[in-house]
Amino acid sequence: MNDVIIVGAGVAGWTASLYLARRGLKVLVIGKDVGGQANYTDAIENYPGVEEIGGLELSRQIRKQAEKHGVEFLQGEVGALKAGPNCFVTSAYGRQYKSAAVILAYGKTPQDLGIPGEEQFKGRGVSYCATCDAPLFKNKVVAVVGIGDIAADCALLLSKSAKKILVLSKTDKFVAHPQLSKALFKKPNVELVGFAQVQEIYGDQTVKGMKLLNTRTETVSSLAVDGIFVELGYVVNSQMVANIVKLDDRRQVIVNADQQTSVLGIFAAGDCTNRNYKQAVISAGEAATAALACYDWLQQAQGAAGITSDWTQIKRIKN
Amino acid sequence: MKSEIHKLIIIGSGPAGLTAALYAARANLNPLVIGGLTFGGQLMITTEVENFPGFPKGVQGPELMQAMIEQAERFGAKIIYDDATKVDFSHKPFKVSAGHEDHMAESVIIATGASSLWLGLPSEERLRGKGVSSCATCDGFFFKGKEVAVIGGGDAALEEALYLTKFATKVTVLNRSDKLRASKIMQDRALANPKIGVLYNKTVEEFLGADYLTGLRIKDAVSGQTEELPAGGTFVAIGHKPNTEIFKGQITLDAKGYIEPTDQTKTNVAGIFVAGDVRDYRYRQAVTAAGMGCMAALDAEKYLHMDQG
Repeated sequence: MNDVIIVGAGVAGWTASLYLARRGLKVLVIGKDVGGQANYTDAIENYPGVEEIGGLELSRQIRKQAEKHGVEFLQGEVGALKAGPNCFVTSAYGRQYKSAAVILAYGKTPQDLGIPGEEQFKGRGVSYCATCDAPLFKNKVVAVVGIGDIAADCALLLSKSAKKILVLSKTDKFVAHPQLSKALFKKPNVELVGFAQVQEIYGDQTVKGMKLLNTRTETVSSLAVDGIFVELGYVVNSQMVANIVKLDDRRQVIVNADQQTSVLGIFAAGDCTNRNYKQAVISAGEAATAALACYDWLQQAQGAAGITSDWTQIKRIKN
Repeated sequence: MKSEIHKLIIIGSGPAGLTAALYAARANLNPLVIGGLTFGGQLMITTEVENFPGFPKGVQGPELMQAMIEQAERFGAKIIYDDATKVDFSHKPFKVSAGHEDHMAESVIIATGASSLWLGLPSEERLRGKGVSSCATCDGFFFKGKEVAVIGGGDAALEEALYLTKFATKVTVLNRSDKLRASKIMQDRALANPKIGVLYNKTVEEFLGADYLTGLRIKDAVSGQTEELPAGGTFVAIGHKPNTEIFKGQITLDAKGYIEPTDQTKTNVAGIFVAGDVRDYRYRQAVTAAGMGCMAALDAEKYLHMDQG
């Protein structure tokens, strides 16, 4: 039996495994792929301490670090997670694996537009993360295809560096928080493109433009852009844990400040949680917290002293 | 008095402050970082960092911090190396005084971290810098060929002990209880080192020596007996306290002086955010601090958008 099974092999999964293995626990990481959502990014410039690194490479480096401490990896897609007597049972590809605790780190993926050209130009002009990629479009023309506050946030961020930001809407209005919307369209370089539905993305090495259907006149036209930011939210595949831990209305795993889920012994970190920001360094931070909280829980469950805070230590010294 | 009003001031230059600076700079907020006279935070006095994700070969603490400073500066963060001495958060723009200058900002991220705790004995105070230290990485070299003691039983204490074996002939770890608090990997390493010995259930009653430390008077918690332990140097590694002296009366602090966020990184004052060890007495990892620094920058960015809506 494993001490801890970690579901997911991205930045969060490998970081959690590293912290647990360094505390001497037997850890198994199960992942459908290595890297997860960070793989969509060719160049991460905002991971602290690392000048520039590809998303996949970052996960690989953390994996290497974790495997040095004895973490094992199993490639597989987790089908279900169940609570058994005194343990959890994770099934993947028809086999069952037992552990005393579980950390969920299976991430999430941005919702695709699902149109021709999108797959081809991912990471070559089609982006799903303005925080990650905005600096790459300095003085360029970009389109924002999306809905609500997340699209408004994205466009606002881009408005500081891009030459022109075209915000697409299928109607004549853009619906977001009134304050955000007001702030957005006050920017001189932000423009609303109304009655527009994107049908296709084209280009050569990188994106050159998109074909738009006018939803009023039903005519198709081309619009030249250097980049397209898709902000349709994320898809979370929480099917495997839906019957065991509490999810929010977006099917994200609800966690508390210690990364605990609604079930004792199951923790979660990274993009599958209900935290509103999705960044590699946040995932890593959450994963370290989840791992230490998990270690603490296991220690206490076995009647040993867990991690003590400075507080209790201060008290002890004074006593 | 400077008339410029910054969008964002970040107080502190450890992993939390510099990650916040990196994100804020990339979002064109042109942050001003009040980095402190001893910049870089606690990692500057840490040797090998093995658990910062992304560095399979490990990295030296100061090297990691230098990389973070360069990264933040590359995207336009401005760092000044003065201590913040006073703040005024009662009205906007917020004021942060440092190095005889007042700096104004629409928002502030507090990332001042935590500092080492001392036992609080008068003899400890008297002999500090004269054989009594809280930083083996800083002072370990001075104890070449001597017998030294380390007070504490956590990861930091054992790391100090291991480091000291490079110089000292013998390192005695004094632990208050019958069990070490450190992680298994650190315990395995420390206990396997022939120069390190651990004494359990021991408390320090007095630091001995006239002008320079010569030893410790220690008491056994079980038998109640005291004895003298000769030591040419002693390192106190018993934990930390938050650096929140200048924020007293400005924002809500908890009983131990930590800043408790109201929601994610927000404090009770709108526009003031908090990240890192100054709010976290429990996990205290470089990467958890960095993650919180990132969140604070994103929260501040959102606040500035909404505020100027």
